[in-house]
Amino acid sequence: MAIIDLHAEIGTTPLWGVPFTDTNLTRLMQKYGVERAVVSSTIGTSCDFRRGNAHIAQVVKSNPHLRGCLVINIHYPEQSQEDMRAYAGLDSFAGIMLTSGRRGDCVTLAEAEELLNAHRRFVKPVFVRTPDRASLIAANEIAKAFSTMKFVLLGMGGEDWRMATVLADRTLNLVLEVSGSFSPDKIKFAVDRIGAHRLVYGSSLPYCDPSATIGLVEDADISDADKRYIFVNSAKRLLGW
Amino acid sequence: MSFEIIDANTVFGPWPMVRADMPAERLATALKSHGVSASLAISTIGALHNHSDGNVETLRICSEVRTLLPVATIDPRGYFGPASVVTALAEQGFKMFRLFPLLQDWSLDHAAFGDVLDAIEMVGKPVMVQARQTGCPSAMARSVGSRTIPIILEGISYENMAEAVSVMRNKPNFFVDTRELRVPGALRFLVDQVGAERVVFGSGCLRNSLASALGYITDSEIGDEAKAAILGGNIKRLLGG
Repeated sequence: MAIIDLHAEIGTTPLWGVPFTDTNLTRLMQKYGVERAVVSSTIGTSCDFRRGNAHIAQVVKSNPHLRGCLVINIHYPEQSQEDMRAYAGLDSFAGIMLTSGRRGDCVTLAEAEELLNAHRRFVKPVFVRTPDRASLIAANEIAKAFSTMKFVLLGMGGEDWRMATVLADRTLNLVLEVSGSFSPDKIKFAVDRIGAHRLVYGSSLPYCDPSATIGLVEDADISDADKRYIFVNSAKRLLGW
Repeated sequence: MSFEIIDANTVFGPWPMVRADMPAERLATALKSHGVSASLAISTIGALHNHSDGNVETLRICSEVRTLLPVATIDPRGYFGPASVVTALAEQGFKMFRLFPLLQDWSLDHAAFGDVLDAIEMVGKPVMVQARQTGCPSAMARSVGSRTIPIILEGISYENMAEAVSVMRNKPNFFVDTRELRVPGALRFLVDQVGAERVVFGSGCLRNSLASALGYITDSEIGDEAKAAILGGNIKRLLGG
């Protein structure tokens, strides 16, 4: 079954400084049958979004199997908008990721409003990290305020995946990316509640081996058609591929 | 009276959590305009992303800006040894090591932190450690144990000065920097308690105003000899002249 990975990062990892290059990613994509991946930069999401975006722009230019995810930081609106003007309109970039510059601090509507207004014209999805309840609530508020945009909740709320699903049931422009918690009940619960067309696969590389999330979806008590949606069709629909 | 000024606590690089403009060129300009002859400087990449990338960046920038003396960092969460890793950093020309337990959220009783201290002790370089919270000086004293390595407690303030003084009375190898000293008379009080030779000037520039930090020292009611020691003499001694 073909797979599209909407959530991977390349670069040296935080803490350990282990290199995870586009070559490493490509090798893993081949191993797991991933035909395309949307990537951001590890240094872009940890501390320097502009350096990360420039790196990703170089990588995706030469690799047709990779699309960029532009990282923007709410504390740097001018610089974020400069990067949006430079990269967001390119076919090689699939969407933007809103960050607060600090893992664990969620992005709020008040902080994101200006940047999202600037992003309207690009008609590309917005990725938001949602490792917990607080980030889910904040992302849901943003999605309701920008109802014509699609918001992909990376990590699906972590252990709060039930809440993520309930919110997505009510806020129709939310899409859930299924990494995060490995509860065996998560995928079926979400498919039954909101439908597989609202779920997308993301590996969370290089922090999580693809086998873990792929196994979670493959092992779920849902139809093969639903699995195809999660692995590939929902992403194609979301990104217009 | 003019003093030779060496700032023991400066940083440059990206700062994603709040808006901050921190290129190394700006640091060099600030040093020059305030009569600071040199500063111990570190890239934020090492604290916020990983120490390997950060140390490379610090060394590169400091080789280009001669008034910046390179400071290395090790994040115990990503340290597996061997001790020769630290030896190599010293051989590359790093003058001091800095550790960021508060920013990186690790405990001072972290086992790998002990390994890092052992390795640094072998190369005889001073270590500056974040210690701005109550409990940090005491925990640091326990972690250092019988090691004789020079330790600079960074960010000591009104709230934990008594604790720092208590530690310093028992640990002759402990020093403090001046970054968080703001209270009128606090520096004079500190000098009375532990002696001027145990205090080193550190501004926190570019995160903090160099002018403000310098003004606090030069305006304080301590003798010129004490000011000279704090502003440059002590750190020169710790660095080996």
